Amino acid sequence: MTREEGVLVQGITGRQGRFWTERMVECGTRVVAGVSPGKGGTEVCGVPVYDSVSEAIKWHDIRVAVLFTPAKATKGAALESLMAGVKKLVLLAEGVPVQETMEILAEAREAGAQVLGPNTAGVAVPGEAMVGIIPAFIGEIFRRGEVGVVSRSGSLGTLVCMYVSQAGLGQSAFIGVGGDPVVGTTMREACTVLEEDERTRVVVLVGEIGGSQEEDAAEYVRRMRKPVVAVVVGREAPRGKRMGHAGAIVLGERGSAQAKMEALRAAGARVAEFPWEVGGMVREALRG
Amino acid sequence: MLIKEHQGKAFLAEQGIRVPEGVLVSSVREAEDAYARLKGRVVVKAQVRSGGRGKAGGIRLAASREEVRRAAAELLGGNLWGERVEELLVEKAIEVERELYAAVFSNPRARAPTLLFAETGGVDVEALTDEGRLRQMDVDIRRGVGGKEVEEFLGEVGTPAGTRREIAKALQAMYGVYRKLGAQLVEVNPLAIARDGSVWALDCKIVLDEAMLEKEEFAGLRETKEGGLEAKAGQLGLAYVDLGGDIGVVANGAGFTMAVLDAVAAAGGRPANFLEIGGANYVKGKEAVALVLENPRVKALLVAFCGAFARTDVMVEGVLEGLESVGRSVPVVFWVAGTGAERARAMLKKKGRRPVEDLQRAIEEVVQEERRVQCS
Repeated sequence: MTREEGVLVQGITGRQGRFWTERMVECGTRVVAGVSPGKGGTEVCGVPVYDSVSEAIKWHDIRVAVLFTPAKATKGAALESLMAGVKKLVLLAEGVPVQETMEILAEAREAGAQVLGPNTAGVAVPGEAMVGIIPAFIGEIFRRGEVGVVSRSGSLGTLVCMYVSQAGLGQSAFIGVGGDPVVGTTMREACTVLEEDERTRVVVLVGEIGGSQEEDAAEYVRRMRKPVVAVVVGREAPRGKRMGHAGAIVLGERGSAQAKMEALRAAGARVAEFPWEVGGMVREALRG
Repeated sequence: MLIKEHQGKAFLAEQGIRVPEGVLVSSVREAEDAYARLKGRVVVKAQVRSGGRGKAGGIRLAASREEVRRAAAELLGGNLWGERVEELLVEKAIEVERELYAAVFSNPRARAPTLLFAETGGVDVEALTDEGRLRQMDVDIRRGVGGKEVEEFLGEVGTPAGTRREIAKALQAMYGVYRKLGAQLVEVNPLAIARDGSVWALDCKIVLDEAMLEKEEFAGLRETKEGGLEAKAGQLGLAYVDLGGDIGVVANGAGFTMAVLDAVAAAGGRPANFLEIGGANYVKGKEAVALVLENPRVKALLVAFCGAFARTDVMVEGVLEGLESVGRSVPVVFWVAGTGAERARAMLKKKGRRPVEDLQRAIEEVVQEERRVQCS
């Protein structure tokens, strides 16, 4: 994600679409167009609005589409962008049916497109750009730096970024992979991006109970050249209960916070018990 | 959300899978009547949403009216994994030749539906996985599964040629149920082959995608919890889980809230609940705080917000309103950061409340407050 990439906002005229379009522009993102059926010809904080993606793409170089559409409109909007040839999609909505997500991802695979989310906070490169709903405009939390943060949760990821900044460091990128059980970009894939990224010197993984993304990422962590710090939450979650995220269900020992922490530790990551320990551990990792 | 076996079997039967003849009952008397109708050997099965019923003793074989009566009397009104047994399924027992395992699920690794199959059924899927006996086939969700494809897959797995077609039909029907319900999982364990070669679903576990329950057509499958705060939260569209302790927690975002709960417990406190008002729920601060304080066990309250999408000023405004509207006062500790935090802190100060600077410190404070209340 760079400042050069033109961003399209789907659902730009809604309350959240408006609010966050302003914030994205404030963060340096080049928002080139918005789409809102029936609102074509209007403007949202200087950004031209179109009725459809195919209309918008005629006039603008669109590399990324970020969807502020509600859950039930997300599949249609995502397929519209893919059909129009957009190659990077950020799906913010919470509550997209998993089978609809899989339909979007099947189309994306065929179109050679990348999907972040659903149920993600998006992606931010402090001082450069932000796509989504990340408070990258708050200087005490997000600062330009060398720590790549990957998180399933937007709120917890934000907290961890705050502790990284309080330790006198900053972020090369914040990648929210999303809290749903099936997502377009996994923690492992986000790790491969940060391992290749020139600015990133340390990777921080922010995990939680449920699924096997942390375990899958741990397999890759073993082979990474860059040091990894991790924190996994949900130790107090009762067995079988859904803790907000649909993906966060513990079935027996599988997917438990303890199992994930163990897998990451065994892969050579420094594993924090609490988010506020992350800053110090990152400093330690940087010292080698 | 897991639905009950008898609900799941109705969906399987609708798609043409054989299920044993059975009667749903809710009293011992009805169970005896069911036996009079079914005769011979029957299975009495507790209808609860939790898995692992067999291990917990929720499934009994019975071969006489007396045995049915005893099984029903023992099971009804009892508890299985903390869930009260109110209904039983009395089913005709099937003479089984061979038991198999079959499932369709939304596979996060494949990011596609996956068929799972094993030539051995009736045991835990975990055991099958560990022993490497589970075979899988990923499905292109846009195309679905063809009968020929499944038969080939069964051939590779080693299913005898004579039964492949019937089993393939059952797998396709299971996939049909999975798609129709937009489910996360449809599992039949065991899928049984009877002496005459017919294929039967002897059990059925369906996990629904909660996002699908929002749709009107699935309203009938929603879990109706009686009374209780979890039910009330459900009506408000909030995710609330009772944790049994006495420190109430209102936070935002699933991940952040779990982190706070872990830390409260590590500091020696016992959290009363999980409740998060992140995402679109950030406007529900007032309702959330009222809900948490309705729990009489709550002796102290921690309000912690780390705003990204969820604006902390809006959440704090709601919480302050809620605190004023509730007719009960407990010590409250606030911590706020992220989107809207400056405004949120100003609002708190105006109301004479002092947000704690440091989250770790805020958690220690609420644990101390709870102890102080306990002692006084």
